Amino acid sequence: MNQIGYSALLLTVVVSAFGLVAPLVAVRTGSRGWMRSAERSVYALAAASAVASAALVYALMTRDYTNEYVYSYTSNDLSWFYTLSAFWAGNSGSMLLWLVILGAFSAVVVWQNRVKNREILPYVISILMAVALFFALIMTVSRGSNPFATVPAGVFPDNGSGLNPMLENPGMVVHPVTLYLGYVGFAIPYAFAMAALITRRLGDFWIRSTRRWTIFAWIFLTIGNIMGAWWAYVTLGWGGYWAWDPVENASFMPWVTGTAFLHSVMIQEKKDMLKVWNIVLVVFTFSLTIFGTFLTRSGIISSVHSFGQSSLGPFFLGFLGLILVFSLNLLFSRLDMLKSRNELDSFVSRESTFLLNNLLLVGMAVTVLWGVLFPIISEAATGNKVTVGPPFFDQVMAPIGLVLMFITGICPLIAWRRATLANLGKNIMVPTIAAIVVLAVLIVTGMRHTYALISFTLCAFVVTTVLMEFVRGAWVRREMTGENLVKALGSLIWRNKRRYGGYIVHIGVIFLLFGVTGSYAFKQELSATITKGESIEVGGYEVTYDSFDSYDTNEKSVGRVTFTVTQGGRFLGTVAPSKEYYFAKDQPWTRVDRNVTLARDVYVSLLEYSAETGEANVDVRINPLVSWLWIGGFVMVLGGIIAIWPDKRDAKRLAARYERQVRLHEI
Amino acid sequence: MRSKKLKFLVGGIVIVGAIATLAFFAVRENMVYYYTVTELATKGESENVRVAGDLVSGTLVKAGVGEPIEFEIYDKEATQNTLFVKYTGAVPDTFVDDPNQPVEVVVEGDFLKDGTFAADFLMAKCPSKYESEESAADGK
Repeated sequence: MNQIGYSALLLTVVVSAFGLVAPLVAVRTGSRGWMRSAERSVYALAAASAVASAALVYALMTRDYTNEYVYSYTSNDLSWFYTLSAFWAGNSGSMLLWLVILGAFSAVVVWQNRVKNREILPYVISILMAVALFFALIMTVSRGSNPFATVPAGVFPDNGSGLNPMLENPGMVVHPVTLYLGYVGFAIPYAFAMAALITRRLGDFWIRSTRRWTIFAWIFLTIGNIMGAWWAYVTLGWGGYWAWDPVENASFMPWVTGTAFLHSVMIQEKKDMLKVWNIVLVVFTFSLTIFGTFLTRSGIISSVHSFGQSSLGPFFLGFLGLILVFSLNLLFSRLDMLKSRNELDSFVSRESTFLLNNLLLVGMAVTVLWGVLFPIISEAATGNKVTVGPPFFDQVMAPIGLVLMFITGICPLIAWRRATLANLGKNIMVPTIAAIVVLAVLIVTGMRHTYALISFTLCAFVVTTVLMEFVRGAWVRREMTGENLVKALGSLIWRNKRRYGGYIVHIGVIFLLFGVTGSYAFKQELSATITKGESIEVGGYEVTYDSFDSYDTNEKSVGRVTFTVTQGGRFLGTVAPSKEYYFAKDQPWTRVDRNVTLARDVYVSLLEYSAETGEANVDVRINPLVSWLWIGGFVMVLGGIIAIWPDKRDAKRLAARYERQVRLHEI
Repeated sequence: MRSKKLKFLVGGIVIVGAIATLAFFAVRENMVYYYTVTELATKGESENVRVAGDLVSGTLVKAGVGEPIEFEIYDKEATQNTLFVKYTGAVPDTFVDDPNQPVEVVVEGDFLKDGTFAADFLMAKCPSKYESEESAADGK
């Protein structure tokens, strides 16, 4: 099986190299045959990488311990579900995951464009295959990244060293895959943008043709980020969900620039502006996905996820440099063709809010990047290694985030082109009143936390403006069609999926920020050593030590304390955090337990216990509003799905536009 | 037309400048020096610094439930240099004394006059163990 897998890998090198060159030959010679071969090479890559992946899955499932990778990440007692997740538990498997996703996506792209976009398809293929070649080469050239490397001949281990127990969590099974689907997804708009530059077909068709790819990638990056946060929260036991760890930042940065891109392309579609900016954004987003993969793999920056050195660093850095030089050079050579035909009219216009949104989002990404690279930069400049921790990020992100929230609220209220203060004043009335009422209530009830006050006030403001959009639209529709209000609302969303899907995403973002604000501003924590009958009191909640039990299984030894959670004597439930110790891995695992409501989590972790005395060192945290983070994430994804859902009228409009642009020789 | 463009340019610069200023002050307030064990020894008493090293196997002592833990770390480059660390807080699950594979540790806290490092933050090698496997496979 290892032989088959490795052969398939070698084949991916060959076909991606061919797929890189063949389309260029096809263009030069005008040969249809070459173009057909080029397209087939993409399908061949998809097939070969699928075979390699199947071989790895087979090796994992059959516990072929002569495969080093299988040996390192599985063991005899691992369930099939987590055995499958071992595919991406380590470095080489993750590289293969990148490649197989890229293969599948590229095949879909070729199939989608079998009749349209024929002029640029050769370059799209060439660029995607160049990326594929990079990953294929990494796995075959660097032994440490070869998922089919075998243990020394003559050795037949009878058990593997097992998957890390912390990765045995449903969130961790899904998180890497979703993240990679997002990462690789951005390769498609990038390839189209570059192909548009090369062919000098600089209309907005590359944006329109890849709009759904972009949203697709964005949805998966969103899921990946939130899943990662959720995993950290429920398994790592330190009570938080985001630590501005370099690896978290690595997936956060492309999400932020991708979000900026999603917004700024609307301006190009509507106004034919920001052409250069959009290309820059897509180049940076794609580079950041490569950089993100590199950060998690290289060990260049110490993080919770990666320590030490790896041989992959130079490969990735070289590739990243190549991408940037190639893309930016190409962009500069076409700069004169990218002049906008329009100008911004007024500061107070919807266009300006998009512009501001973009500046702030990119500002966020750049600051995060700065924070990540700071240790390296400072060491190079001064010789001292200096780091900045989470407070740095919190301090910069909080104000930027608040301004972004405000823009999210104000944007739908402002007219395109030029808004008059009079009509802005009329629109802004209701949301402002809602915001003031919320602010007043919060102050009267004794809230004094400045950031939280601003944030909650803005939450009210934004949610009201967005809801007003829905209500107003549904109202008008009801008047026109005679549908009842609920039905009118439904068809309003369904007939304008893009717009209202976007608004739903905004509501999700606000829910998420509501949760973030609550849990950052008002979290409370106390840890103490207690024994049976004693309790810890935090924020009006009492957590009382009820009973202790311990048991051993074949793989682990477990000590568990059951606590009763009460509030002012009222029983709320029990929680049973435990401390487990895995024999095979020589690894303890602190399993937290929570009592969850929409208002707060009571988060209890058992830090330590003494089996003899029953004494336990317990950490109790009250995390307000955390549930809203997960709800917000869910709503964001839902909105994204609505926005990406196939729309016949949209497709028709796109086709008509495409034909017109072809006629006008803009394409 | 020109003046309109200028207006937006100035607006943009103001915003970028604001973010840069914000970041500048945030860095100044939150930066933490990062030393190896050897560097810290030459530096002497210092507050709020980060130190990286490997756990000296067998030195990890737990006094009792809820008590601080004590251990020594050494410099990989100069193994004779060690640092005595006293850490208060939750011990990450990844922090396990394994004689076969040195545990890499990062601690943050104060280096006291008596040569003790009082840490309130501890990070140990990653659960997904990407890199250790990698380099092992590379034979490094």
